[in-house]
Amino acid sequence: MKLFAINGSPRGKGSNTYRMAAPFIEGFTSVPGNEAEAVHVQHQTRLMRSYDRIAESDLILLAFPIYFHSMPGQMKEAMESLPHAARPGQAMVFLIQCGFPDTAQCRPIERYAAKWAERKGYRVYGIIVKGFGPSLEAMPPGMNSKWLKTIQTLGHCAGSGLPFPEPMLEELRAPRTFSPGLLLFMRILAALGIMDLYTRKRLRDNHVKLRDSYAKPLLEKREDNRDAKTEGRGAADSPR
Amino acid sequence: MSNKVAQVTVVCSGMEDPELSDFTNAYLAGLAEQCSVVLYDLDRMDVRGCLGCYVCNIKTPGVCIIKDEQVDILKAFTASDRLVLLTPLKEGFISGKMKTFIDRLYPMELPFIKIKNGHFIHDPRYKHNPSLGFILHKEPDTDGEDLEINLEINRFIGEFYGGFAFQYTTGDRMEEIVRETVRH
Repeated sequence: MKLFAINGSPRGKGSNTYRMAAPFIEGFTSVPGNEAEAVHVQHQTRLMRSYDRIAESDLILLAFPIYFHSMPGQMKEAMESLPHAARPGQAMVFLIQCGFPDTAQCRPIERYAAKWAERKGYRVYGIIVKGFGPSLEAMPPGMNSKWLKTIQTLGHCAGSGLPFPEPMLEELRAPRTFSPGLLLFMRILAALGIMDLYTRKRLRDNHVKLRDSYAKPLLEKREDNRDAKTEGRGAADSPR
Repeated sequence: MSNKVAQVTVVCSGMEDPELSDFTNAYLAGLAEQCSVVLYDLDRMDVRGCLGCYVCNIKTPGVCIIKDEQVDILKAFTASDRLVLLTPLKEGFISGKMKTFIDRLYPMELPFIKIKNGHFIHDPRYKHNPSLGFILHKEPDTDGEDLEINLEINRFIGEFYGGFAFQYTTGDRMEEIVRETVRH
């Protein structure tokens, strides 16, 4: 069987999305006789030149991050120009990953992905959802190896033509939402800044002081403008 | 205090469709009678895709690494009470072009995590934020479910800024769309 993977992250090969797609591809190709090809969404020309190979493939993997609303704009544009299924029942897998630890915001995107695939004539093989993607950068590798292995197993399932085991999908997308108790715990962590430790480390690495991370560069320019009396309306940052 | 907003920024795409461009002209004319309006047509601008590099978050806070015309819209953003995203649906969802514009709002957020309404969110970088309105131009096969899916996603993005204001389609009553757009 042939798999064609599209990585929808503009960050390409080093992206968290691709780091999740890679074990799926490995699992798929671990089945003797299977082959796979992957294209990153920012390589638009390469992607467009791949349409004939997409048509020949048995399974298409669309992997993308959530950019605080839905898939990245580049990925949406790629989806718009992707050809319709080459034959009835050509299958598609989605791998949707978001940065926040809960996957509640993925739910409508999953619904959209399924409906979009149907519109294009593809059969939805399955939808893999994973929260807390930055764990791949922020946490020691040992904390990620188990769930990456689960994704690999799902790739192996798809490569063997077997359906995804629902408990595995469930394990990956948990938690959908936080229980009130856990939410309280998270609030405390957030208030203490523990959730931001990785962000703070990255700011430090870039020699950005915590205070400067709150910079309002657009506003400062506006105030300059106002001082120079070039702009009448200066109430930009006043409370409404 | 006025019960109308003072400034509306409209960001549009897909004006090659004469129906949508007629709608937009009538809409802008309706708004212009009641408030100040700024229009940005993404198809005539240089707005490139977000690189996901986080530079606007953790290296040069609030400043995007891509130097293109997005910054003009962001300046209008900080001065507006309402931001209207006017876009055709393409394969059931806002256009890739409009989504690219949304991605590039990232410098308007702080990097830190907050919990709001039971889920995670980033606080806005600026104190003044417009509320977001969406006007969608339907495709021939658009159904109620498509609009519901878009609504759910659009509602969520509003939480990051000044709130979600509305979602209409270009087939809704113009009077009502204009009234809701300028309503404080």
